[in-house]
Amino acid sequence: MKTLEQLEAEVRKLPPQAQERLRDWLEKLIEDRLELKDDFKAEVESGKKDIAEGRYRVRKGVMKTATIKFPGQLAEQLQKLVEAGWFKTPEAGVVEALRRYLSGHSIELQEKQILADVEWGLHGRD
Amino acid sequence: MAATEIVAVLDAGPLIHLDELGRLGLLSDFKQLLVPQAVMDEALRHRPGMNPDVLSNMEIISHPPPLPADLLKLADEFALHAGERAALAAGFQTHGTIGLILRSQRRGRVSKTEMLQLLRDLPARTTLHIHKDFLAVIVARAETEAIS
Repeated sequence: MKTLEQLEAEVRKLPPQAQERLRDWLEKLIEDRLELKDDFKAEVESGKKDIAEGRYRVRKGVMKTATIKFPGQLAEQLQKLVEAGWFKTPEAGVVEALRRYLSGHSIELQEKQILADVEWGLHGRD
Repeated sequence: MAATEIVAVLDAGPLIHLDELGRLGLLSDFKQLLVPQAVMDEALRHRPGMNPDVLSNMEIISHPPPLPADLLKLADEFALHAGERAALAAGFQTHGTIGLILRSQRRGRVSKTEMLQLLRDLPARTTLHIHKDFLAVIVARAETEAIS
Protein backbone atom coordinates (compact mmCIF):
# COMPACT_ATOMS: atom_id res chain seq x y z
CA MET A 1 0.00 0.00 0.00
CA LYS A 2 1.19 3.49 -0.77
CA THR A 3 2.06 5.90 2.01
CA LEU A 4 0.11 9.11 2.54
CA GLU A 5 3.10 11.11 1.27
CA GLN A 6 3.19 9.08 -1.95
CA LEU A 7 -0.53 9.64 -2.48
CA GLU A 8 -0.16 13.37 -1.85
CA ALA A 9 2.65 13.54 -4.39
CA GLU A 10 0.47 11.79 -6.96
CA VAL A 11 -2.50 14.03 -6.26
CA ARG A 12 -0.28 17.08 -6.82
CA LYS A 13 0.42 15.82 -10.35
CA LEU A 14 -3.27 15.62 -11.26
CA PRO A 15 -4.86 18.39 -13.36
CA PRO A 16 -6.86 20.92 -11.29
CA GLN A 17 -10.22 19.56 -12.50
CA ALA A 18 -9.33 16.05 -11.35
CA GLN A 19 -8.13 17.40 -8.00
CA GLU A 20 -11.50 19.13 -7.52
CA ARG A 21 -13.38 15.94 -8.35
CA LEU A 22 -11.19 14.08 -5.89
CA ARG A 23 -11.88 16.70 -3.21
CA ASP A 24 -15.65 16.37 -3.75
CA TRP A 25 -15.41 12.62 -3.56
CA LEU A 26 -13.35 12.78 -0.37
CA GLU A 27 -15.74 15.23 1.28
CA LYS A 28 -18.67 12.96 0.47
CA LEU A 29 -16.80 9.93 1.77
CA ILE A 30 -16.06 11.66 5.06
CA GLU A 31 -19.64 12.91 5.39
CA ASP A 32 -20.99 9.42 4.83
CA ARG A 33 -18.79 8.07 7.58
CA LEU A 34 -20.00 10.58 10.11
CA GLU A 35 -22.36 9.01 12.56
CA LEU A 36 -25.29 11.32 13.16
CA LYS A 37 -26.02 10.86 16.84
CA ASP A 38 -29.18 12.33 18.41
CA ASP A 39 -27.39 15.13 20.28
CA PHE A 40 -25.53 16.14 17.10
CA LYS A 41 -28.81 16.15 15.14
CA ALA A 42 -30.42 18.30 17.85
CA GLU A 43 -27.52 20.73 17.69
CA VAL A 44 -27.85 21.04 13.92
CA GLU A 45 -31.60 21.64 14.18
CA SER A 46 -31.06 24.23 16.92
CA GLY A 47 -28.50 26.00 14.73
CA LYS A 48 -30.87 26.07 11.78
CA LYS A 49 -33.59 27.56 13.98
CA ASP A 50 -31.20 30.26 15.28
CA ILE A 51 -30.26 31.26 11.74
CA ALA A 52 -33.91 31.31 10.62
CA GLU A 53 -34.76 33.62 13.53
CA GLY A 54 -31.81 35.89 12.96
CA ARG A 55 -29.81 34.83 16.02
CA TYR A 56 -26.39 34.72 14.43
CA ARG A 57 -23.44 36.97 13.73
CA VAL A 58 -20.96 36.94 10.89
CA ARG A 59 -17.46 36.06 11.99
CA LYS A 60 -14.91 38.49 10.70
CA GLY A 61 -11.42 37.43 9.78
CA VAL A 62 -12.40 33.99 8.56
CA MET A 63 -9.47 32.42 6.76
CA LYS A 64 -9.67 32.21 2.99
CA THR A 65 -7.67 29.98 0.70
CA ALA A 66 -6.06 31.30 -2.45
CA THR A 67 -3.81 29.68 -5.00
CA ILE A 68 -1.33 32.10 -6.51
CA LYS A 69 1.51 31.93 -9.00
CA PHE A 70 4.52 34.15 -8.42
CA PRO A 71 8.03 34.45 -9.88
CA GLY A 72 10.53 31.81 -8.83
CA GLN A 73 12.90 34.50 -7.68
CA LEU A 74 10.37 35.71 -5.10
CA ALA A 75 9.74 32.13 -4.06
CA GLU A 76 13.48 31.67 -3.44
CA GLN A 77 13.67 34.83 -1.35
CA LEU A 78 10.63 33.73 0.62
CA GLN A 79 12.12 30.29 1.18
CA LYS A 80 15.33 31.89 2.50
CA LEU A 81 13.29 33.86 5.04
CA VAL A 82 11.54 30.67 6.11
CA GLU A 83 14.85 28.81 6.43
CA ALA A 84 16.33 31.70 8.41
CA GLY A 85 13.46 31.35 10.86
CA TRP A 86 11.63 34.61 10.07
CA PHE A 87 8.47 32.73 9.14
CA LYS A 88 7.24 29.29 10.10
CA THR A 89 5.87 28.66 6.63
CA PRO A 90 5.93 30.37 3.19
CA GLU A 91 2.19 31.04 3.66
CA ALA A 92 2.94 33.05 6.81
CA GLY A 93 5.46 35.12 4.86
CA VAL A 94 2.98 35.83 2.07
CA VAL A 95 0.28 36.86 4.56
CA GLU A 96 2.71 39.20 6.36
CA ALA A 97 3.84 40.77 3.08
CA LEU A 98 0.21 41.29 2.04
CA ARG A 99 -0.72 42.74 5.43
CA ARG A 100 2.17 45.21 5.26
CA TYR A 101 1.33 46.22 1.71
CA LEU A 102 -2.36 46.74 2.44
CA SER A 103 -1.66 48.75 5.60
CA GLY A 104 0.46 51.25 3.68
CA HIS A 105 -1.33 51.40 0.35
CA SER A 106 -4.89 52.67 0.39
CA ILE A 107 -6.48 53.00 -3.06
CA GLU A 108 -7.42 56.63 -2.38
CA LEU A 109 -3.88 57.55 -1.38
CA GLN A 110 -2.35 55.78 -4.39
CA GLU A 111 -4.75 57.47 -6.80
CA LYS A 112 -4.07 60.86 -5.21
CA GLN A 113 -0.31 60.35 -5.57
CA ILE A 114 -0.63 59.25 -9.20
CA LEU A 115 -2.88 62.21 -10.06
CA ALA A 116 -0.37 64.61 -8.49
CA ASP A 117 2.28 62.92 -10.60
CA VAL A 118 0.12 63.30 -13.74
CA GLU A 119 -0.29 67.01 -12.98
CA TRP A 120 3.48 67.39 -12.63
CA GLY A 121 4.13 65.36 -15.77
CA LEU A 122 1.70 67.38 -17.87
CA HIS A 123 2.13 70.88 -16.48
CA GLY A 124 5.29 70.98 -14.34
CA ARG A 125 7.91 73.61 -15.00
CA ASP A 126 11.06 71.47 -14.92
CA MET B 1 16.16 70.14 -25.53
CA ALA B 2 19.02 70.12 -23.02
CA ALA B 3 18.71 68.23 -19.75
CA THR B 4 17.19 70.32 -16.99
CA GLU B 5 19.00 71.43 -13.86
CA ILE B 6 16.74 69.15 -11.90
CA VAL B 7 18.26 66.50 -9.66
CA ALA B 8 15.98 63.48 -9.22
CA VAL B 9 15.97 60.72 -6.63
CA LEU B 10 14.70 57.50 -8.09
CA ASP B 11 12.77 54.65 -6.61
CA ALA B 12 12.93 51.16 -8.12
CA GLY B 13 9.51 51.44 -9.83
CA PRO B 14 10.40 53.86 -12.65
CA LEU B 15 13.72 52.11 -13.26
CA ILE B 16 11.97 48.75 -13.61
CA HIS B 17 8.96 49.95 -15.61
CA LEU B 18 10.88 52.18 -18.03
CA ASP B 19 13.34 49.35 -18.61
CA GLU B 20 10.40 47.02 -19.29
CA LEU B 21 9.21 49.54 -21.88
CA GLY B 22 12.73 49.76 -23.33
CA ARG B 23 12.80 53.49 -22.52
CA LEU B 24 15.28 53.77 -19.64
CA GLY B 25 16.97 56.53 -21.65
CA LEU B 26 14.09 58.88 -20.83
CA LEU B 27 15.72 59.33 -17.43
CA SER B 28 18.77 60.92 -18.99
CA ASP B 29 16.80 64.17 -19.14
CA PHE B 30 17.82 65.14 -15.63
CA LYS B 31 20.97 66.90 -14.54
CA GLN B 32 21.61 64.15 -12.05
CA LEU B 33 19.86 60.97 -10.98
CA LEU B 34 20.48 59.92 -7.41
CA VAL B 35 19.78 56.25 -6.85
CA PRO B 36 20.18 54.64 -3.44
CA GLN B 37 22.13 51.40 -3.59
CA ALA B 38 19.16 49.49 -2.15
CA VAL B 39 17.00 50.78 -5.01
CA MET B 40 19.51 49.70 -7.64
CA ASP B 41 19.79 46.27 -6.01
CA GLU B 42 16.00 45.90 -6.08
CA ALA B 43 15.77 47.05 -9.70
CA LEU B 44 18.48 44.62 -10.79
CA ARG B 45 16.80 41.77 -8.90
CA HIS B 46 13.68 42.37 -11.00
CA ARG B 47 15.52 43.23 -14.20
CA PRO B 48 18.85 41.37 -14.19
CA GLY B 49 19.43 42.36 -17.82
CA MET B 50 18.99 46.08 -17.17
CA ASN B 51 21.90 48.22 -18.31
CA PRO B 52 22.20 51.21 -15.95
CA ASP B 53 25.25 52.42 -17.92
CA VAL B 54 22.93 54.09 -20.43
CA LEU B 55 22.31 56.66 -17.70
CA SER B 56 25.54 58.63 -17.51
CA ASN B 57 23.86 61.12 -15.17
CA MET B 58 23.22 58.48 -12.51
CA GLU B 59 24.98 58.45 -9.18
CA ILE B 60 24.58 55.58 -6.75
CA ILE B 61 24.19 56.65 -3.13
CA SER B 62 25.66 54.05 -0.81
CA HIS B 63 24.55 55.75 2.38
CA PRO B 64 21.40 57.85 1.96
CA PRO B 65 20.94 60.47 4.67
CA PRO B 66 19.03 59.07 7.66
CA LEU B 67 15.47 60.19 8.25
CA PRO B 68 14.64 62.15 11.41
CA ALA B 69 12.67 60.08 13.95
CA ASP B 70 9.27 61.65 13.18
CA LEU B 71 9.65 61.15 9.43
CA LEU B 72 10.99 57.64 9.99
CA LYS B 73 7.78 56.75 11.82
CA LEU B 74 5.72 58.14 8.95
CA ALA B 75 7.87 56.31 6.40
CA ASP B 76 7.28 53.06 8.26
CA GLU B 77 3.54 53.68 8.54
CA PHE B 78 3.22 54.30 4.81
CA ALA B 79 5.67 51.49 3.95
CA LEU B 80 7.87 53.82 1.88
CA HIS B 81 10.52 52.24 -0.31
CA ALA B 82 14.23 53.03 -0.16
CA GLY B 83 14.07 55.64 -2.92
CA GLU B 84 11.07 57.37 -1.40
CA ARG B 85 12.85 57.50 1.98
CA ALA B 86 16.01 58.93 0.42
CA ALA B 87 13.98 61.55 -1.45
CA LEU B 88 12.16 62.48 1.75
CA ALA B 89 15.42 62.80 3.67
CA ALA B 90 16.93 64.98 0.94
CA GLY B 91 13.81 67.14 0.62
CA PHE B 92 12.97 66.00 -2.92
CA GLN B 93 9.55 65.21 -4.32
CA THR B 94 9.22 61.72 -5.74
CA HIS B 95 7.71 60.96 -9.12
CA GLY B 96 6.46 57.77 -10.64
CA THR B 97 6.63 56.10 -14.02
CA ILE B 98 3.50 57.80 -15.38
CA GLY B 99 4.67 61.28 -14.40
CA LEU B 100 8.05 60.63 -15.98
CA ILE B 101 6.48 59.45 -19.26
CA LEU B 102 4.24 62.53 -19.39
CA ARG B 103 7.18 64.79 -18.57
CA SER B 104 9.26 63.28 -21.36
CA GLN B 105 6.59 64.36 -23.87
CA ARG B 106 6.34 67.82 -22.30
CA ARG B 107 10.12 68.10 -22.64
CA GLY B 108 10.02 67.01 -26.27
CA ARG B 109 11.80 63.70 -25.75
CA VAL B 110 8.93 61.69 -27.23
CA SER B 111 6.00 62.60 -29.46
CA LYS B 112 2.48 62.84 -28.10
CA THR B 113 1.49 59.72 -30.04
CA GLU B 114 4.42 57.80 -28.58
CA MET B 115 3.68 59.04 -25.07
CA LEU B 116 0.05 57.91 -25.33
CA GLN B 117 1.16 54.53 -26.63
CA LEU B 118 3.62 54.11 -23.75
CA LEU B 119 0.83 54.85 -21.28
CA ARG B 120 -1.53 52.40 -22.97
CA ASP B 121 1.20 49.76 -23.01
CA LEU B 122 1.80 49.93 -19.26
CA PRO B 123 -0.53 47.08 -18.20
CA ALA B 124 0.66 44.67 -20.89
CA ARG B 125 4.36 45.44 -21.03
CA THR B 126 5.24 46.37 -17.46
CA THR B 127 4.72 45.14 -13.93
CA LEU B 128 3.16 48.44 -12.86
CA HIS B 129 -0.13 47.77 -11.11
CA ILE B 130 -2.86 50.16 -12.14
CA HIS B 131 -6.60 49.82 -12.60
CA LYS B 132 -7.52 49.94 -16.28
CA ASP B 133 -10.36 52.45 -15.74
CA PHE B 134 -8.03 54.73 -13.78
CA LEU B 135 -5.41 54.45 -16.52
CA ALA B 136 -8.09 55.31 -19.09
CA VAL B 137 -8.81 58.53 -17.15
CA ILE B 138 -5.10 59.40 -17.23
CA VAL B 139 -4.79 58.66 -20.95
CA ALA B 140 -7.85 60.81 -21.64
CA ARG B 141 -6.31 63.68 -19.65
CA ALA B 142 -3.03 63.27 -21.50
CA GLU B 143 -4.85 63.33 -24.85
CA THR B 144 -6.65 66.54 -23.93
CA GLU B 145 -4.04 68.42 -21.94
CA ALA B 146 -0.68 67.50 -23.43
CA ILE B 147 0.50 70.06 -25.93
CA SER B 148 1.47 68.53 -29.27
